[in-house]
Amino acid sequence: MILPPRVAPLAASKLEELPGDETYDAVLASLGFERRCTEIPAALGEVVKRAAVPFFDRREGSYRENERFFRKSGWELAAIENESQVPAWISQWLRERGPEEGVRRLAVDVSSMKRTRIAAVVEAVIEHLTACELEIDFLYTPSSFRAPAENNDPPVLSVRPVSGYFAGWWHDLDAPLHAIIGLGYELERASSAIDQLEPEILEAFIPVGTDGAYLTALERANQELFDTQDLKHVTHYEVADPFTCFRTLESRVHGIAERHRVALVPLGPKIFATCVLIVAALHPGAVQVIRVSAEEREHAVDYRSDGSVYGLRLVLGPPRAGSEMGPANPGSMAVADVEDDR
Amino acid sequence: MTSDPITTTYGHYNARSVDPRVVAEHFVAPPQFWEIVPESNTVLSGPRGSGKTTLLKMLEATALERWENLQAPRAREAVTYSGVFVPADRSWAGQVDSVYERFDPELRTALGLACFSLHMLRGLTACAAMRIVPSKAEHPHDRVSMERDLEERIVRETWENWGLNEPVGTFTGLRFALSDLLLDLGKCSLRARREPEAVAQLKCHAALDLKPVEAMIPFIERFNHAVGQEAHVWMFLVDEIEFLPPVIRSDILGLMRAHDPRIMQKCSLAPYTSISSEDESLGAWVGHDYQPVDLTFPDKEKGYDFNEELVRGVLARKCIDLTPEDLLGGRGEFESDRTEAYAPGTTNAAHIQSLAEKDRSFREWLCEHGLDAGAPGVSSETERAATLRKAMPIIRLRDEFLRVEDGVLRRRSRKQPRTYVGALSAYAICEGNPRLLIALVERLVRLHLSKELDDAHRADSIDSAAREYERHLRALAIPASLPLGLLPRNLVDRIGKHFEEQVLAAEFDPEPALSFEVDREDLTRLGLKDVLMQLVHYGAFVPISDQRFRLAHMFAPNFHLPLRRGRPHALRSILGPSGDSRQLSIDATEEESA
Repeated sequence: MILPPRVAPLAASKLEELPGDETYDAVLASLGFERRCTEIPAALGEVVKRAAVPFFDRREGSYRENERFFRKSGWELAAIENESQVPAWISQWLRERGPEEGVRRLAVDVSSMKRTRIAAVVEAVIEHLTACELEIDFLYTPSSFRAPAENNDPPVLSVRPVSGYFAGWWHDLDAPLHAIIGLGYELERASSAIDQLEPEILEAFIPVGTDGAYLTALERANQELFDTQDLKHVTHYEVADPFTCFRTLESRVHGIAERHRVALVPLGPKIFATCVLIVAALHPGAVQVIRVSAEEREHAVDYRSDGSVYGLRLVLGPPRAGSEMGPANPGSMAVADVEDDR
Repeated sequence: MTSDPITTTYGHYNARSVDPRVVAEHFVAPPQFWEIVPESNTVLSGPRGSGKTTLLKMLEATALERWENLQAPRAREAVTYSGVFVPADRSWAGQVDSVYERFDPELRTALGLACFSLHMLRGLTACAAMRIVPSKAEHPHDRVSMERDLEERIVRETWENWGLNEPVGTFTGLRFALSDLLLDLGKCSLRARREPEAVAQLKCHAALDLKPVEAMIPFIERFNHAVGQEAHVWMFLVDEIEFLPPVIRSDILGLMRAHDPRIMQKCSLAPYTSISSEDESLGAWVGHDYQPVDLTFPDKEKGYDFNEELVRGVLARKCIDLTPEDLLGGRGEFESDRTEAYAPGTTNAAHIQSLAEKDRSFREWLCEHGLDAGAPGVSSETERAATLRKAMPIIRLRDEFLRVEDGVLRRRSRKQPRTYVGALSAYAICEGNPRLLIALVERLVRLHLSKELDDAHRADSIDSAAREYERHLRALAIPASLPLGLLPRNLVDRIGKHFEEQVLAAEFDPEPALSFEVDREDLTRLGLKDVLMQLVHYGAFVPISDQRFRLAHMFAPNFHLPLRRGRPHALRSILGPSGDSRQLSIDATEEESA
């Protein structure tokens, strides 16, 4: 029997505590401008199948250094020419390294991944690997705290579904649009999404980091939004507890999707984007995931990890013997069925 | 469903998903409503918040039945057709666009049209189902009686032609079946995205054979015949068609070309669509196949009555015992054209005297026109009085924002004075845009409820609204090709500052430049077209004619501008060759700014 995809918590960890080559059969990461790109990959050690997808824009900051690291450590770098080829490459890579090749446990470092790439990963595993016995750990290491730059947002160039798969498919256009927006430092992006979508109902998910200064800075950055928008709900989520965030979000979406068109706008930490994309994949057609982007005008900020690692596990295929509920260390077994937890 | 659509935040309220009956409860008809009501093809055009969706929804029977107003009987009599609302919005358009982006253009167009056709048919069947249900309203509108077996027969003779798989027995069942067909089309499309071999199957999907008019006619014919209204018109009220892909938009607009006199439509369209010289899908048809209706008020005075009614409505709904003028701070002297506004002892008279004392060029101007700064109100000659009235906003702004230092006039930095307080200024600043006006009124109502409503707070509220409006420009998504100097916020800022310079220039000018002209060449050569379209849609630029625009009056408090359109300057001269405009590659122009 093929069970629907299940989501499980992963216990918080430190970079140096991450289990390495004995745990994961494959790892997928990004090669970009942040030092953070290589921090989880370095901690995971000599995993057999490793690949990183390079950025095609903003090859600045730590890009060259990161590239040297990946090459020196024997990582496969995606041999493609532009961003539009990335989703297909990811899909192909994941399928070729599926369980037929002995991959049972896969780690995906989303820390520096573009949302379109995380979307490509989620789409590929949900659409092509559901029947496989496979665990995918989405790992995320937050950056050290850095206050937002004043009035430094690049102009917004695009507000549209993150991909066709996550565009949703609504049959009742009379239904009110309910937007759930994950906030980050980027007020203009949040405003732009709201401006374009004109949702009838708006709610926000606000990240709370381990450093209290993060929440203070984030609330200050979004003060205008709080002052001018009619937020029906505000949910604070712990960046350190993605599973609870996922469960809360999934429960919200489940509750509203029947009578509303639902748009999710995952600004803020990439782990929230991961939660959003998994939730959307579990509600096919009902949910639209919006990407707000400055495209090639995005700034390159060279973030470093704060040393912690959080994650979320997606479990596909039949239940494995010995599976149990509850948080697990990255790489170890733990399954929580979303249905049961709702 | 939103229970109180009027309780809204600044800048965001769309009637799209509001029940027509709820829309009707709060509806105040602008003068343009009566141009929209007649049985004709119409295109409504106006910036965001100008009420396009609301007006379309008010043409639905359930809204007309619920509307309680002295004008309601007139509207019920004039609406001789069945209004079928077809919603479309940006998120839906983005959905269709994204799902289909991997397919070839021909298939993409066919799928987009199929989707829209299904939505139109859903609207048609929903309207049909509504019409045959007896209304409990005091003034039933557009209801008919139909025996169950007749309904069944019409449905039986329809479902197969619409590509539906299974028989249904009612109009509502027909609508549900269309929803199922839409869902199935979505599933097939998603499958075809990931499995190329499924594309062939998608190309054979029943929905792709649907042509909206051809599909509707047999249904409408049967329905009309069954209720004895052979020539009855079904008016499709298509919202926000600018978000549809151009090919689909063109097809939808093509419906207006009189395929069948029983099918007509009224569409709402963002104003920018008509600016574009390339997008002439509408251009050739003006006055022939459709009537254009502009929801803006280029002559601001024409919107005053509507604005006042709107404010009165909000106050009544909130059970606040104030008149619009009580709330907004009187009629206001800044915009007043009454003679008594210049009488000795008035604020205006004080400004005239004060400016005359410090501004040589103003004294000369007064002298030139035979006016006495000490007693401006006694100017009995009509022409001279009119000259003074016309110049009064400039006089006031110069007096408030200029001071003498070492014998030289210099700019004065000060907190926003109460210049723009007053009902007429509020109406002009909001441009007759219901969304903007209601947002401002709600701010003032909150002040009233907290017993803080005075002129200082009114001035602050107007100032905050203006600054928020300007900040919101930063949130507009822009075309990737746009140079930084042409970002909406930068463009508005440069134009606004240029006009401010004209008003507060060294030499008094009673009619400074306050509008700008854009020639067709600049639209394309400078890549201005997209940003111009967007700013017109947002309402930041108000078209005066095809190539002449002014800044929205909402920016007036930010740049200390009068609420006038003024003389035009060429945009290329405003952007000029200096500063960051160098990136625009604009040549120095023949016309120098004043």
